[in-house]
Amino acid sequence: MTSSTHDAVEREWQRLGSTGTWWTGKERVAIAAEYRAARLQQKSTQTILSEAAVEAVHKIASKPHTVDQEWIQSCHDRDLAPFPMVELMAIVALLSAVDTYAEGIGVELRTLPEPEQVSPTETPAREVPDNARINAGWLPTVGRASAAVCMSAVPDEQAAWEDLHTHLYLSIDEMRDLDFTKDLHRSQIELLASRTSLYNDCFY
Amino acid sequence: MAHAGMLRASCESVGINLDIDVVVDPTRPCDVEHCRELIEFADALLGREFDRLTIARQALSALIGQKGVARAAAIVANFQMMNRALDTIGATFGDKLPSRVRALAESFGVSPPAHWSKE
Repeated sequence: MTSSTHDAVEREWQRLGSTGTWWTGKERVAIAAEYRAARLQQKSTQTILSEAAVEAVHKIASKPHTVDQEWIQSCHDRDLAPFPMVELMAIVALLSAVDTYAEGIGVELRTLPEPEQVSPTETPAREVPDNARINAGWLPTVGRASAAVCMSAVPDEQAAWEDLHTHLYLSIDEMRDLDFTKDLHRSQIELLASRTSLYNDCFY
Repeated sequence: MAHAGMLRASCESVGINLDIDVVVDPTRPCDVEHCRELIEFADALLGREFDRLTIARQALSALIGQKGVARAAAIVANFQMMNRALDTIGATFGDKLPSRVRALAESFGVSPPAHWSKE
């Protein structure tokens, strides 16, 4: 593992069990545990998550290409609102990167962290960015729903995404260079990116 | 589709011969260095076929070293993340499906999801 990638993964790991914007540390770790179960095509036998949240983790983990407006609305109808959904998606997506990377380099998956211990009165801030709204997608974003702003409705998750994305893939500046080499040539990098998207049925 | 477009652009920019359909059919002509080994590694990793992955990792490592393997793993990992994020938020390239993207999709034999299909 290169040191900068290792450091980025470590930073994400430290965040996982901390209080989020919409979910407690305990809930965030429960989402992560459900993601790990979904990878094994199982369900956790015990969870503190709602039925809708469990369903969301499994869908995003295993069949993200089947997410649509109607399903997002059905989750909302079951008290899984769009902003918490963005954070849930972020936990699943970021952990999918961390776990795939570990398996790729041939190391054991890390045991999930213990949730941060907080006072019972300390709750997630539930802050919404002023300009986050539905903008051409089906979950809120700051700006048109696209890769660059995919987690922007929850700024802490967006920052974590930017950190991990830069270290796993390329920075925005590096992306402009079609002849860039970062251990692999850009053509090799994009071949892997394309093959992965094909595997996941991601049209984007 | 975005990254298949970038693959083609990167190859064109440095004169690498590429049949873009190699993304869906690894037997197609492709002069991207170690193309077959990279695809084999990605497929084994994505499918979580660990015996196959061990062999693919060793084969790739012999060609590009451990740093190269780590980078390959990082790229696959990144797009596991991106695919989940983009599909969950319902991202598209714009109000209309660009014609170049439509052509690429047709080449791959992939149909755009319903929300991408506006002309």
